[in-house]
Amino acid sequence: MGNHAGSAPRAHLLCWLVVAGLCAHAAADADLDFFEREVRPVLAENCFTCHGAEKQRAGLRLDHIELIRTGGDNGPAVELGNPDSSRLIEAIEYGNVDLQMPPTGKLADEQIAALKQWVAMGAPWPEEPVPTGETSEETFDLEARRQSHWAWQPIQAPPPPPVNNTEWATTDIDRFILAKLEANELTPAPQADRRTLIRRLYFDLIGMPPTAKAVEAFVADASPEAYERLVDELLASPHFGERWARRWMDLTRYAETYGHEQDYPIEHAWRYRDYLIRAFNDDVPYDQIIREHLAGDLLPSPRVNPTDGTNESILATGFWYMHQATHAPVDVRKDEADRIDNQIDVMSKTFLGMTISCARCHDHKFDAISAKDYFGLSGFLRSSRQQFAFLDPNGKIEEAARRIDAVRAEGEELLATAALAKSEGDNDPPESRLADGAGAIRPAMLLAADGHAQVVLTANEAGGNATAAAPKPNELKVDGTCYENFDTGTFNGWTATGHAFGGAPSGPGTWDPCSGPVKAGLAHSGLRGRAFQGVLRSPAFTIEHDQIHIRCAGEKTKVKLIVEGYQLRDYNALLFDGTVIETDSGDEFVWKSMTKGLAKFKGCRAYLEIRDESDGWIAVDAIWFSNHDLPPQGTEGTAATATDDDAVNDALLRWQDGSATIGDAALLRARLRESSLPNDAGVARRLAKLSNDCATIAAQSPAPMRALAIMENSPIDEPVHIRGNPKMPGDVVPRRVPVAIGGADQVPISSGSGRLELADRLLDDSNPLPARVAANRIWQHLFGRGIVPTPDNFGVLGQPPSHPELLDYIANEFRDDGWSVKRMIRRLVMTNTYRMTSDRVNPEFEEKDPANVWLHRMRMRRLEGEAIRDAMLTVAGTLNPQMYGESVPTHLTEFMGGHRRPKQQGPLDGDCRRSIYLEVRRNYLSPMMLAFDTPLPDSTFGQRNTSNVPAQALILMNDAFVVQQAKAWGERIAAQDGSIYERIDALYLDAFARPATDVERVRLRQFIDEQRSLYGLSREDALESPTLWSDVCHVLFTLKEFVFVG
Amino acid sequence: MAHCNNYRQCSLSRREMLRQCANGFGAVALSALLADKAFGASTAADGQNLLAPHFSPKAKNVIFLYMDGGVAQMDSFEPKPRLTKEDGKPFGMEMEPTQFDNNGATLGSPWEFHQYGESGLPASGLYPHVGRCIDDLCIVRSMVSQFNEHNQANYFLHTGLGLSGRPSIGAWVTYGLGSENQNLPGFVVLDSGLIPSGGADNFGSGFLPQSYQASFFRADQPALANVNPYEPAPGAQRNKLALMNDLDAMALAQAGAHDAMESAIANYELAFRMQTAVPELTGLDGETDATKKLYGMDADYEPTRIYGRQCLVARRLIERGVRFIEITCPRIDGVDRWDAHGDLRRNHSLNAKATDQPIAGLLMDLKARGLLDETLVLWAGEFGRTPFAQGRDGRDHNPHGFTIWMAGGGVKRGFAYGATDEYGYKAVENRVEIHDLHATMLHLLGFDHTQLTFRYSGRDMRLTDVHGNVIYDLIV
Repeated sequence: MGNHAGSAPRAHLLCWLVVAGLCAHAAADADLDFFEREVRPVLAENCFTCHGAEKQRAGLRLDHIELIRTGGDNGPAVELGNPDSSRLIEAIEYGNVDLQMPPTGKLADEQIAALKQWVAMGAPWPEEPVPTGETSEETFDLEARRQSHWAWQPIQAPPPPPVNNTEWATTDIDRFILAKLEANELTPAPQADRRTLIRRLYFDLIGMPPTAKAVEAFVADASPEAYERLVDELLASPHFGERWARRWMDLTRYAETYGHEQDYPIEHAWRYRDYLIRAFNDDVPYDQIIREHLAGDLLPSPRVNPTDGTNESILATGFWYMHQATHAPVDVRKDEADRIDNQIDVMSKTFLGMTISCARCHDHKFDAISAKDYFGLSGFLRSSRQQFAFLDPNGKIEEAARRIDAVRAEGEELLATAALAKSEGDNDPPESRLADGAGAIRPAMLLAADGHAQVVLTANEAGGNATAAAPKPNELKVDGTCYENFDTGTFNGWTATGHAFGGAPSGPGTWDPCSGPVKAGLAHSGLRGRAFQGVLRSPAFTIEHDQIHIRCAGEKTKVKLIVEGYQLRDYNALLFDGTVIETDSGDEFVWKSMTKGLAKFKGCRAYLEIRDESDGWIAVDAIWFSNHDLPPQGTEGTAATATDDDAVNDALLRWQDGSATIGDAALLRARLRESSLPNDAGVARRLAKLSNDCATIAAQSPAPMRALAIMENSPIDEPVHIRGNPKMPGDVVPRRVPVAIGGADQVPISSGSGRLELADRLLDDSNPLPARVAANRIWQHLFGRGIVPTPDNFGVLGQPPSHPELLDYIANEFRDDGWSVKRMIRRLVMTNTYRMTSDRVNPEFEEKDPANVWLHRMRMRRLEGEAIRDAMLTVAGTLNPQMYGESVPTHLTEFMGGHRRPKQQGPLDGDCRRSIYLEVRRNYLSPMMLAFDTPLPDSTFGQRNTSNVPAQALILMNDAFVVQQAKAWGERIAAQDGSIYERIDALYLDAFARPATDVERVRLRQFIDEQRSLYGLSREDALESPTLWSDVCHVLFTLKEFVFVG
Repeated sequence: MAHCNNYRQCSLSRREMLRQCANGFGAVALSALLADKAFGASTAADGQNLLAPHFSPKAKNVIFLYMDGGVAQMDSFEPKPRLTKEDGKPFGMEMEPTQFDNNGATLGSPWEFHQYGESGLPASGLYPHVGRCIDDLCIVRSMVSQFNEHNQANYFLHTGLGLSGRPSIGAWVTYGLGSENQNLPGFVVLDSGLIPSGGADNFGSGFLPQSYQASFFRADQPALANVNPYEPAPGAQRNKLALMNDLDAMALAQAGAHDAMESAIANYELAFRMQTAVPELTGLDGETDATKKLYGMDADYEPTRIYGRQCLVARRLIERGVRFIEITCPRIDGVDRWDAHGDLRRNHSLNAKATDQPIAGLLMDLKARGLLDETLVLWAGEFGRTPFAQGRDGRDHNPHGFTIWMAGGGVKRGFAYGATDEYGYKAVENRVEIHDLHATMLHLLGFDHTQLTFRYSGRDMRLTDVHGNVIYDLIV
């Protein structure tokens, strides 16, 4: 948006106060002469228009040295005496494309030189008063806003109000409703009949119509508990979760592709959908659901899936990453900021009913939310990162890993014993030999300590003879820094997930059952067998070099550089080509380099992911950052050719001690293969058996399940982005919840991302929002309109609650009753309010309460697209009740063309699965769902529209799916026994939970006769004609009663 | 991102919505349906207007030729010799912030201008066909917008507010005037291939009844999904729908007259009629080769053919009494709308190639058929472009001054209004705000823009909010 500063409501007049200021430094006359002659004219002519008395672009004034030193939005404009770190100089030098001043064209070289010299001189400026002025900033009083808006106030425990009609108001909730009705001179409508009630309950609770049998049983059940029993039955139905999960998917913008130009897939997204279904079916307390969404990966004791024992809680965190994503962000930092913006937007609307993202560019225009609040939240997300978590069904992988580890330990012991037996006869103490060897052949270890020093790293480290003083021809010159060599015995801040990498790098005497002894200090994903999968992630670092070199061995395993959270490199190489390497050298260690296009990411925050996600493996020996060209390839780490047994035994000792080189390990492996260790004594044979044992165990280990999830990254606090621009960092904001929720003095996050603390603080009893927002959503889904009609916005721009006391009452009940969604629903549907008829029985009340705000009757509601489709499948008898699993591919019509049209055509009938199991491709959304107002998965959408467009009628009249289901239903009815009227009643019971009325029967009969003559059928044939009955069924689909719930 | 406008109103469905139905059949629809008389009728006789116009309208319909992405004013209808003279030199004025912040040197227009017609008004080499219609154009060279970004500027141009969620001008016009056609929606977007930035929210009904939102017809056949009846035998569907109406009526008798259900019933009648009306409309039945040729439908260039077809469909919609038609731009390979951030020459050439002849054809055809007087044609993008280069050879967004034009519908002919500075950068003479454009358009349609209101959230809402002045200088 444009320049809103000028239109700020409470802008102060710019009033100039002249302050006699003394310059902070004395300046010699000659210097001042230089300034007046060479500098001031340049500034005045080129800069003051935008950075002077009249305008202060970017908050910057350049007409006094004090103001220059204070600077603007981007901080000080000069650093006295230091032109190279002065932004003013950076700007006029035009070297930074984002900061080029003056914008009309570069200054003359001599002008630039003069300004640089002036800064170098300490920026002399004559003694002049400093012009000051109050700028036109809107005052933002967070506390006043918090206090003046209802939503921030604590949840009260209001007593149910007195009412007159105590007979009707059997529950407290009814009393709240009735009190308002009575105050508005309205009375509640009569109770709906049982047929209406069962249909209402079915659609509200499980999203499907009741079967004829269920209807008749309910109608016939004279017991006063019949209704309650029905409610409990439906709450216990597995379809309950399918119904309610879809509503939360609207909130978390559930999608399975990233949209934008390419619409790449969001892998494993469906597990989040299944998580929601199970969570609602299991009635997981809603505060736990929130906690799992925010930090399900960090819970000390996560919930586990009852069938396979996998971590259930972590699945919730997938919601963070269902944002849109673009494959080629030119500004990768801003791209991440935009994704985080969407994450904050969705999280805050969904769980807090607040539009915190509106405070990204400026303090919120209306609500008690500051830009600092926004960036306080942003820090939690920048301290986190995306992962595809490894889940281990029934712990089988873990079990296999442990068994293999035990066998490996046996093997390592065996091999070690062999070496010691030989060394006893040796005169030299092993330590001294080791010290020599290590000093001579491990320059890499020294480099790590030396940092950026220009050094020579011998590439051919074979054996103990190589020295730094006498480098081999294939040496690698690295003017850079060793980022990591895994020599500390730990992963040194790296995080391993899955089972491939184990708990630490290879250490002294590590034996790889697949290949033999390996050197210490390898991040190795194959030691338990190549089939194990896992990912090892580095801490976050700032990219400062052009190239990354990785010495590694292995097959089919990638190392990726993840820049500012950008994850689509797997699909598109356009801008991120150089950010990935893949192993392909087998046992041989080679240098793999990321060389292309990294320079443009300098200054970006990144981390490395070593990703073994198949039956490949990788062993990483060292990772270097440099500005050099590709290192020489192919000769490092080749096997040594030493032949005498002493040398081999020395290598064995070094292996045991942890100082073996790549060459040592290769030598030992070669000897082992030939069974020609100096003291073999059956070692090779026995090791081979142990290897086999490992392979056998590994073969029985299942592949891991993967799930989209969040995980920890290195913690970082975010600065405010001035005007939302990540390139203009302001004050750093410690990670915290908004002040209006958590107060101004929050305990700093001590370790990790802090998302667990985030969840704790948002769920603190003092925060009224989560319970109010959730209770309002549940109410809305049962009564058609929230007590707050804007369920995602409880802020000033939302609408206030129609029944504020009732809202607090149910929020309180909800919280006190363990945040149980099912019991909340039960409480609401047991009211007489819920059981009222929706018929417009009293015209006078319709006039008085036209929008039915006071609930003088139940609201008539149109079904959602999903429920309409599910109802068709149900009545047609085609519904496939299979739950869970990967989504059914989208059926593509001829109207769904364009870029990246999916190659796979999905079935027209969606395999007759419930609509929640149909794929959600952002660029290819189901036309039927769109027409019936399924929201676009962009942001939180708590209240669906109910539009009325011709496309809806055209779909129900002509769409191939609708016709197909009408046919199936018609065929079913045609094949049944019974008279015309009996069949008509059966249809009506299926569709509307009631038999047809007499007039309806007569009219339908007339239609059947019309169609009979149209098709030339006899009366007898007509009764069993699928075509004819399909016509009837098709008409029933088009009836308003089919798509509305009374 | 437009999420700051997170207050989305859920739909209202009131009884009066049906009565005031944009599609022209209103409250009579239900009874007509029940009597099974009006089915398939296509007369325009009982078209109802919600509001009588405030004064005698000059225009009855609008065709909005939306120029997606923003056309460069100095390359189309406002020649700037100084720009040409200073081509390649540092830009001579202070530059406002730009979308891409990659400002280069002054960029003269690559196109020559020619004077056309009796008015002698200039048009560039981009628009030779439109140039020959210049005596019918009323060119505004001093348009300004408030937004530098496509989505916001589009919402602003279409709805009067730079956020999503407000009724589109097409919805307002249809709300005000109703429709004269029972078989087609009152507000139609002819989708030539590109949906504008901001998507369907540019064409929504906002807080107005849902029935005022636009329907989209594509250029391919069928123009609309599911518009072809499923039933092979003509009578079969008719029987079904008659049954549907009777059964619906019986159910409604029980439940009472719920607005949403009644609206849904009305929807079926429209849908039923659209099954005939849309294919007839878009099939171009009865159009001669000469007419098609006039619109460029014989062109070698596919985007020209597509856009020509939609322009011709627009004329047919006008003839059928549809109030408000917007035509979106065709998709052009390798070029992103008129949004010439780079390679201005190629971008604008191809876009002009696609639209020039069809637009001229439309103007000439409307005129020849006597329809231009009652049809207001608007040619406009969401903003203009910068006189200085973006990078080497592009132009960035420029809301500070740009050109739009109108034709027919009571605007002056062969007339140019306002001006930008010598560089074509900022409007300096007779600035016209988007609100002013809206006010003027409503005026031409017979409405006082301050009186065309809809009560919502306790306020009488207007297309022009609290802004807008009718620019009487533009009106005959």
